[in-house]
Amino acid sequence: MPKKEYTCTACPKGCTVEVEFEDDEILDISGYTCVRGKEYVEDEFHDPRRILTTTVRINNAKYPRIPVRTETGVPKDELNCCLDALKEVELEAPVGVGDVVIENVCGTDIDVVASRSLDPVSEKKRTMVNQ
Amino acid sequence: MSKGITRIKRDIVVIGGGPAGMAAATRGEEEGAEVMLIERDIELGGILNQCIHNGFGVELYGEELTGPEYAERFTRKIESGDIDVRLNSYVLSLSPDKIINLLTPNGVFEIDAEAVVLATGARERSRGEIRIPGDRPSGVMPAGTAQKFINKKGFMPGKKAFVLGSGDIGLIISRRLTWEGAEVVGVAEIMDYPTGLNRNVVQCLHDYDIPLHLRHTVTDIYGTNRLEGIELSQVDEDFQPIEGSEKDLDVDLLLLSVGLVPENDFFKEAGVTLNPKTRGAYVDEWFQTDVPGIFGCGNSIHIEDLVDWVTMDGFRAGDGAVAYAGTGGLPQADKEVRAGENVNYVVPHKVSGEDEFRFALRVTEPMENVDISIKGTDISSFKQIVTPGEMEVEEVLEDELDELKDLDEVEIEVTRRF
Ligand SMILES: Cc1cc2nc3c(=O)[nH]c(=O)nc-3n(C[C@H](O)[C@H](O)[C@H](O)COP(=O)(O)OP(=O)(O)OC[C@H]3O[C@@H](n4cnc5c(N)ncnc54)[C@H](O)[C@@H]3O)c2cc1C
Ligand code: SF4
Repeated sequence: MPKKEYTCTACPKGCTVEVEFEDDEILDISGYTCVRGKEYVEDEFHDPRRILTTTVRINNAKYPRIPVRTETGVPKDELNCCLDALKEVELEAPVGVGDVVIENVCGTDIDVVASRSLDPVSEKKRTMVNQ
Repeated sequence: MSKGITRIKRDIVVIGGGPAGMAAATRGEEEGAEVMLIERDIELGGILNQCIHNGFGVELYGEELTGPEYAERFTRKIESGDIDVRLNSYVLSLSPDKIINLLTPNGVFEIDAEAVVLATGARERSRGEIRIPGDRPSGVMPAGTAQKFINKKGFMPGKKAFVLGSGDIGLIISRRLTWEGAEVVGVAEIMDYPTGLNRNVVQCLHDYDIPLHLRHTVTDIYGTNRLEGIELSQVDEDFQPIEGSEKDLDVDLLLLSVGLVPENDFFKEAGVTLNPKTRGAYVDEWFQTDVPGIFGCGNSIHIEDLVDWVTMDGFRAGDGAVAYAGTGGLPQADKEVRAGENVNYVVPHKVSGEDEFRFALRVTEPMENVDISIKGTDISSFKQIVTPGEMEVEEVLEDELDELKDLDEVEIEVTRRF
């Protein structure tokens, strides 16, 4: 029977939890100390998700990049697709915190939003900052 | 623009516009004080502006914000208020009687402050401080510097990286580099446990199969102009490299995540006593130092892992500064707070015993099933697990203060239950 090992992240203890599975069905979970560990591993097995935080290009602002995030966790397997999609993005200031950067990124039903505001600035100021 | 020195007076001057300083300044303003907030950068927010990952605000807002989102909640508030914010402004000196010399784009100022809050944050330990032998090529830098390059300037400092130190900064930068297309060959940690959060070990290293070498360190650096490689060695119980365990790795980037040190120069200048353990100032429950009217909060006092605590300490320091500037007096804090059994350090270092307070501590080693207690009292709380990498914060409430009455010193200890 195939087995997989996880480290529970629900508390600092970090128990090693072992899952025995057949296809996409869990047959046995062992090694957790409390029920949170069991729930964590069930989620990790069936639908592991991560919040993606990165930056995209922005023009006409005091920095050349602006930080963005997925609103909630996207499936782990879609992270690379999301990163690739964001490489293509180029924003124009002004951008406000929470503005949608990509809607329904990679068909995940989740939006990528800006995680800060950036106002437009004059050319002169920009070269000063980027030095 | 006048070229001379302009003299002004303020109730409260806050030095440093990171989360600690922003919290202290907003609290001061809310209480009606005339507050000046000084920041050397072009914007407020401090280190939060480059920490674009999520994980901020869980304790305070019950939400997982990114660093910039967390910062913006405060900058909005400050911009809409009456705080005298000075950006691009650098404090040149601070005297024990709270005279500040300030260099701004509009000239030089001499500020006479009733109360001063130092919130200057921390700096990263450098290669010189940990003494790695070898060549001195480019491509060796503190992890936070790389973080700033990547996240603010969109500039990748290397393609094939190694990270020394498994604190949260080292872990987070490893994932960041991976997401940006670089290869992270490994992370080395001299201790036998990772010092960052377990969650970060899993989500930043395991997720990308980045090896974590415990009980290892970098023992040599190769390269003339640009870094070409490093030597990785295993260490023994005394943290000395074990001969024969050396292994060479080809990398063009070595990131150091080997700790932060409180930015304590102004404390020293003002004659404040420092704690040799934390390298920040000795403070009381209001975050007042032993120089009356000089307060400190955030990473300039001790290295905190959660910004939420930084903010709460900033509020408290702001309250203290308001009380001091208004009346010149705070309750006399004459009970020494001591780090007892299994406690590496505790902040604050003194309390009055007259007001509720919070204390923060770090333990000396990972332990399970422990009580964090104040010796000689019933004040105690149970923890399933504690590690040096995670600061523990406990509160002493109004109705518990009675128990401290007869104590000359407050000794905090962490003891195993079974
Ligand atoms: C890489 C990294 C990752 C982190 N991850 C998390 C996380 O996931 N979750 C979390 O809760 N916390 C996290 N933290 C911790 C948290 O961000 C810090 O504890 C907090 O930002 C410290 O705030 P501070 O205000 O004390 O210092 P800082 O944010 O460093 O602010 C200090 C400010 O003072 C200014 N200053 C210094 N000297 C002068 C001077 N002479 N004149 C004028 N201005 C001056 C600096 O420019 C700076 O803006 C992380 C920290 C780092 C470094
Ligand atoms: S299983 Fe329970 S005790 Fe173990 S790491 Fe997970 S939450 Fe912590």
